[in-house]
Amino acid sequence: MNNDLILARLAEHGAGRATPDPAFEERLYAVLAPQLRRRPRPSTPLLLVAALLGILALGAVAVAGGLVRTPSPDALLLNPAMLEPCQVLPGPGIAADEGPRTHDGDPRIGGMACGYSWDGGNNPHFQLRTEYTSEPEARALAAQLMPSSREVLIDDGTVRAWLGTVEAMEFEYVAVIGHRDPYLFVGYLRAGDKRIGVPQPPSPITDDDRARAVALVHGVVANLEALNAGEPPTFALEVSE
Amino acid sequence: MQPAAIATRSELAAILADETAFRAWYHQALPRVYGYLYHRCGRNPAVAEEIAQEAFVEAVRSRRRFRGQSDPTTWVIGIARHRLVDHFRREERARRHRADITILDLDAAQPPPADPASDGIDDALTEMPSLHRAVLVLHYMDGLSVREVARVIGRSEAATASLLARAREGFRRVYREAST
Repeated sequence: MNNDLILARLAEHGAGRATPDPAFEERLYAVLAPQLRRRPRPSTPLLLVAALLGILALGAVAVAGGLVRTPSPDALLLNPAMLEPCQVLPGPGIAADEGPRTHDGDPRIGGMACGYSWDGGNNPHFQLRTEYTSEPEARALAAQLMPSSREVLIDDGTVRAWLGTVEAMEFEYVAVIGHRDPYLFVGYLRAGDKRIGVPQPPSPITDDDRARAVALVHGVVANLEALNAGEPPTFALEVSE
Repeated sequence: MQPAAIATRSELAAILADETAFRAWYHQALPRVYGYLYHRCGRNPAVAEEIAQEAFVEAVRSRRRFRGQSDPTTWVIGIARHRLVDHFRREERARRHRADITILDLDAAQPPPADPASDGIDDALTEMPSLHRAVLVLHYMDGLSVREVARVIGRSEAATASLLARAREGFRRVYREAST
């Protein structure tokens, strides 16, 4: 049989009427009749808008009544006390061998180190710490490179604040170890397939690694200071593959 | 809104507002909707009834969504078409699942008895995989374009065209084999 004729028959086949079973007709009518007496169902967009308005109203009541506290931008800034033991560093662009400068006239700041660290892995937990690091790799590296180094960890909120638009970061091993001399930044942060900082471990650590680490840490600390002073961070993270 | 649309919306509102009017419309509309389904699901009355019921219930419940772009019965048939495609999808999933297990109840798996009036079309359609049947029904029986079929079955236009070509070829082969 001709191909077109087969398809034509298929097309015609769908045009016929059919008589439903009268019992089915009555059964279906019995189902539909009560539905007719009910109010029609509101459309989905209307329901969504109504739900959204309800949630907003509840949220407003909860905030106004003090049940829910909204985060204050100030809470993200570093407490000035946290930076007291820190040296004040120049911003990025300083020569690697120039070293940090101390806070003018502040007798409390001398040979202390300032920095921040994540303890790596999946635990981006930050705390202000002034004791020697408990992170074995950082400590070992510090001991190897800077015998009298110290480490200070700064709270999560602060670091996230200066990270700014860098989102969804996976924190890997990072250590900032300071001395009177340039700081050393070891490890990196990862955002997707981007690395921020120096690939870790840089072994052997070259002068170039050191220079980049120093510049980065200077920038980080400069940002912390800016935040602490209520100013926007100015140091842009350098992202490298 | 077009005057015709307003008229058909008013028509539906009038039908739904009065039980007597609804009953009169229902007696006219049901054979069309049922017939549409009956000729597309292998003349299986149980399947046609089930999908017709789903379509009418959904139409009455969501009557506010009726935009008046067609007459109310055509609108219900449009709903039935989507339910029919859902039915084909369910059949296809069940077929894949059955391929891995042994069917013990062979009687239950038998297709309904052949209707002499079908001229072999139903038998051939029943032999087709459900998705092939869906595109054949939508394109040849309902007269939808490939683009419209693609939208209904949720595939790309290119994939639908390819699917339709395979379905067409398969249908011709099965139909010829059944005829000889």
